[in-house]
Amino acid sequence: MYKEIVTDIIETGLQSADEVEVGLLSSESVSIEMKRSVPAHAGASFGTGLVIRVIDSGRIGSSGTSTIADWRVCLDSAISSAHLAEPVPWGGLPDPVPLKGDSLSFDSAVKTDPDIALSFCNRLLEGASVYPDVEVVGGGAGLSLGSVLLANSKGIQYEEDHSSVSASLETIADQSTGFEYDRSYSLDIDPYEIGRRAAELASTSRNGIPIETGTYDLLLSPIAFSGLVASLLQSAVNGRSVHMGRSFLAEKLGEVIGSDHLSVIDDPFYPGGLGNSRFDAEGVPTRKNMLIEDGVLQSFVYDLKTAYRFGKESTGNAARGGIAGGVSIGLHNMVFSAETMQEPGEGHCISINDVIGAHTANPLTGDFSVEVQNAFIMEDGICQEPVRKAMIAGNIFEMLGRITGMGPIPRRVGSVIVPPVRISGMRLVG
Amino acid sequence: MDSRLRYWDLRHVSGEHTGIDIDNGEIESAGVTFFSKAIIRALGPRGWGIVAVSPFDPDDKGALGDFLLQAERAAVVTAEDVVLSDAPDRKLLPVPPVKEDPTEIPLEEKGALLMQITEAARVSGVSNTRGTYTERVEEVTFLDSTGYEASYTTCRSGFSVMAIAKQNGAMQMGYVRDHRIDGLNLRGRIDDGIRAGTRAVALLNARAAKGGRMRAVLDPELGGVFAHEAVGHASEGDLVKEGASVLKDRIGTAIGSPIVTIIDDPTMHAFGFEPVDAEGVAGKRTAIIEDGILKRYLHSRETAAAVGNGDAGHSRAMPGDLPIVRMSNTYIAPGDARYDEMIEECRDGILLGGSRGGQVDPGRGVFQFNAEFGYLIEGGELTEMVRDVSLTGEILSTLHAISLCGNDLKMHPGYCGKGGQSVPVSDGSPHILLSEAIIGGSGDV
Repeated sequence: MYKEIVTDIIETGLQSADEVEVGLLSSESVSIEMKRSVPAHAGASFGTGLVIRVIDSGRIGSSGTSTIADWRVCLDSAISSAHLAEPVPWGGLPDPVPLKGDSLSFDSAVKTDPDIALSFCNRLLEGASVYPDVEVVGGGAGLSLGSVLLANSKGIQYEEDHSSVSASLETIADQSTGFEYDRSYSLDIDPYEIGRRAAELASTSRNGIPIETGTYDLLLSPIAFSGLVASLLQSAVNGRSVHMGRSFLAEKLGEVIGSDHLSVIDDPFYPGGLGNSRFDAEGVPTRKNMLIEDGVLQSFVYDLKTAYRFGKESTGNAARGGIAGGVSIGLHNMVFSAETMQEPGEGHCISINDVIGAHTANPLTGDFSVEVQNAFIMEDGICQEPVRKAMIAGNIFEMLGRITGMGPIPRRVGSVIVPPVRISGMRLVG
Repeated sequence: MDSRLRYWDLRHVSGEHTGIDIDNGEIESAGVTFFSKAIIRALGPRGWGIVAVSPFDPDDKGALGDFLLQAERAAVVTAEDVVLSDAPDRKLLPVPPVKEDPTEIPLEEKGALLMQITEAARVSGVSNTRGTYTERVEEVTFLDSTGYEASYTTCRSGFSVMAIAKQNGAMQMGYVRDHRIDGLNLRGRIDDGIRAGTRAVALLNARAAKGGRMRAVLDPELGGVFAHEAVGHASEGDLVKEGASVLKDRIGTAIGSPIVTIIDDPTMHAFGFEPVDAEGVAGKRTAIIEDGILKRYLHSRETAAAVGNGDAGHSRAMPGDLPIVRMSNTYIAPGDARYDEMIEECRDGILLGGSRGGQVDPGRGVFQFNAEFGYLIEGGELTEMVRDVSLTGEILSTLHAISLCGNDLKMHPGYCGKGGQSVPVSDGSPHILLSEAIIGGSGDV
């Protein structure tokens, strides 16, 4: 039924515009949310969405609606939107190409079955019970399935399915808190370990000691590192920010911007990657993009509009956040690697599991000062005393040059993939 | 409806979202999207069964019954014994009168007005400007199993303007935003563009602040963030109920200096206003802290019944999402100190202004937020401008450090995130003086 609507939309749209692009989204999910250690909410959700983009003489217009049956209103709105936009150099929507293989972030074993969510909740609690001094504050588990159908007037008609399985637990012991979670497209998450880790963090962070203001080596967990670095680096390599003069890295292509063993790849095919996809939001086939290699800035990422405008080619990084707003530029899976340290916590350092206020960093320059969360004085990889309170201050880009190595095992934090990261000479305010 | 359900409600929100994005003097995009989302909550013998749907068709009379059956089945696995407080006051608060209805202004005209503000930011030294306009019309319908029904429409609109200044390879940004619930705010706002541009240029010559413990004056915008992060979240009844707030079991105790009064007021005609909350309960002005004493928590019907000390009416939700306990318009009540007096009283310290946002861990009782700019205070006078300065603190000790409250309360609109949902709020404060604050910055001197 949907495919017929897509054909109707494209045919009708072509009467008013040079090109038409249609995206149809659908999703369903189940979830159980616990308050303290008791399932309090259990629910299901069902949703659809339609996005339409039209291009007429280089003027790009878009609209979206959650009611697919109202596609004519949505199409009219997209056409009016195009009338308002400035014309840009435009070389056309992509032609169809054969796509290899099946959906890349989908596991057909994932079902929206509340019994699975409930069993995950029980495992979370079993894991947490390893630390009897810790109380569970809340948490839960969810499973979702979604699909995208992308079609355009050049004849593209691509489909991609997605699945998602997630669980999280929040804990407290006195005034010490812990949080852990995981999300995957398969059923391979380990809710017992999530629960155990959440409880361990709260239990072991109690009775923190003050720390002297000074300069320290840090071991940032994948969560802390991705919280501080990922979104900032993503916007700094965004081709639109670069050419509009809003990126710290704009003039630095080919220059050393990090430790000489640091590499960052945008990889849409990473095994187990949540951001995997065979095509981007404009139907351009995705590819691996080397962003930083051996510390040297290698490339920026583009969608079609930015690429046409600045004489580049699309890197397959067009993204959409939902039905509202147009196409933007985004990464698929941001994969960090550096010289492997068998024990990244060797010698003396401060291990930091998370930070409070990562989003308050200066989005342009990378200057930040944030509060640590679940931090420990570490000796030879073993957590000793917890740190009661401390602020890390510095600059995120400068920090990339202070990376001395990374642990052997990467972790997936959303669509960021990174091991624990050892960083030298950072300032802590105690 | 099904008698096995103790209670159910439906909240349907449909509407339109308009966005305009101006990048360096060109309209990058401008358009409208449409949404229709509903959430159905049903209380089985124990906890909640929830169904969220998008789109929802209110004319499909059979649909609600089907969703209630689904919600009832979903609720079977729940084990929490949910009790709801009474909700005596359910009459809609009057929506603020709209001075100029944004929906009646053509998109072209709104684009041209935004262009004027954005272009004004291009002062000497500015290399890039960006302006965005958002307008969101929401038609809300709420009904529940008691036969209560309410519907209302709100329109929230506003703009942000950003300028980037460059000099010798250094870059800084200035940022001004304003969002309203009482009509179009794009006219006569060229000064805001100039302010964004001037701030960006000034920050180029500002030094990175040096961290440490010192006296600090917060401006009304940052003081508002302080009220929101340091007190507001920890007073949310759901966190108190779950044991995730340091303010649990502290009603009636002094948690701040006697000059501190902090209020959350959903009835105030500011950006966080709602005619009724997401459970169909009319909100009340709620004094969380009075003269330093913790008096009340913010509540939903469920947390009011479980925790007490405060009223329901503080439940909020994004369209199609579950209501959770939230702030609305939160502020530190004004005192009688004059601004000059506070700077002089501070003697040596720092003035922090503007907000880049903040975050709190209410269970641990630690918060952090970041200012857009600061000025050193030396010998009772403002001296050098500093940049990238933040403030952290512990909820239970920081409020005791407020030693002066100014007489110049001002509210600022914004959005607050919790549980994956972002809702419109406003925060405010007069200038306040902290006798000791933990300041973060990457500067050495």
